[in-house]
Amino acid sequence: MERGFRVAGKSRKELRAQAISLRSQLRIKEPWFPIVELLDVYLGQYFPHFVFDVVEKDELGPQHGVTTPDEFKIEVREDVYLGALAGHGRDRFTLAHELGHLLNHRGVTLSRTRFDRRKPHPPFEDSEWQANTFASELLMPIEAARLYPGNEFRLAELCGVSADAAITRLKILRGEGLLK
Amino acid sequence: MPKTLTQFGVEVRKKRVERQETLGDMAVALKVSPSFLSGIEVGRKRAPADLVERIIEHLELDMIEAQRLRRLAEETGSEIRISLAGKGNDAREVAAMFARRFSEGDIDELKDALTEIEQKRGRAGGTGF
Repeated sequence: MERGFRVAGKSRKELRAQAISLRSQLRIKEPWFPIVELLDVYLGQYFPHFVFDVVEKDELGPQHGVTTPDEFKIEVREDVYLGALAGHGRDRFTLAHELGHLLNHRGVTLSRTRFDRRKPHPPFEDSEWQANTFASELLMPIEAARLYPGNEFRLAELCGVSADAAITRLKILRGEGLLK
Repeated sequence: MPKTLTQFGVEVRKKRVERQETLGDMAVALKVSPSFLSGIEVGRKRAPADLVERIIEHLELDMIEAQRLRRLAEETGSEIRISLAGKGNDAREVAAMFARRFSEGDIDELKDALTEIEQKRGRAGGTGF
């Protein structure tokens, strides 16, 4: 599993509530969450000081995205941005992941691929786990998963995520007893 | 990466989002890469004069707005920049409020609060330039 920084703990329940609240405030009822439009257009309308910067591939190197919550800034690699715009699941997930950092992780510069080899900490205190969990909750609402509880490909298509992300999502929801 | 925004870039972005247009769509229309357009908006890149004209045309600005944008573009060249560093507290304040509001409040309340911050900044403005 990807390991990040140790941060204040947040449970899946809290991150789920946050994702549901965001959806409801934006009045998004469809399974497909417009993550590109949110970061690229909508947030800029309400928060002129929010910076969403698409940078050339070699500027971020192996990192797909970097979020600096204290500067209210998200940078994404151009190929990732274009992929997300085209609806590619993995890239859309990266953007939602960065939004997860922006909302939850003030005080540290974070990146999608940074490892931290300090002493181990539990998943719910891990910045990467939290960002991934938030992204998964935001992009794949429980109602959508219930439509196709046994078909990760339909869920992936419906929500604009990768099949891998959909498989993981269904497994988790099943484990929680939330799917039949 | 410089922590600076230019008034020109801020204005271009403002007009773009008002039109509900993504960086990707506008970049295609201008025949530049999204990263170049993004660079202009956040102050990493400078727009050459002919691109400024294409931007004005694309955004369908009236004469007065076009003139204003040209002036801002020129000022960008003389390194007049808005420093985000000087606005650290405000940026932090907004980020904190943003995180808080999305977990409890509603978006109208957030907009009101934000307007208040913007007005406060407007009054305090001037000194940053």
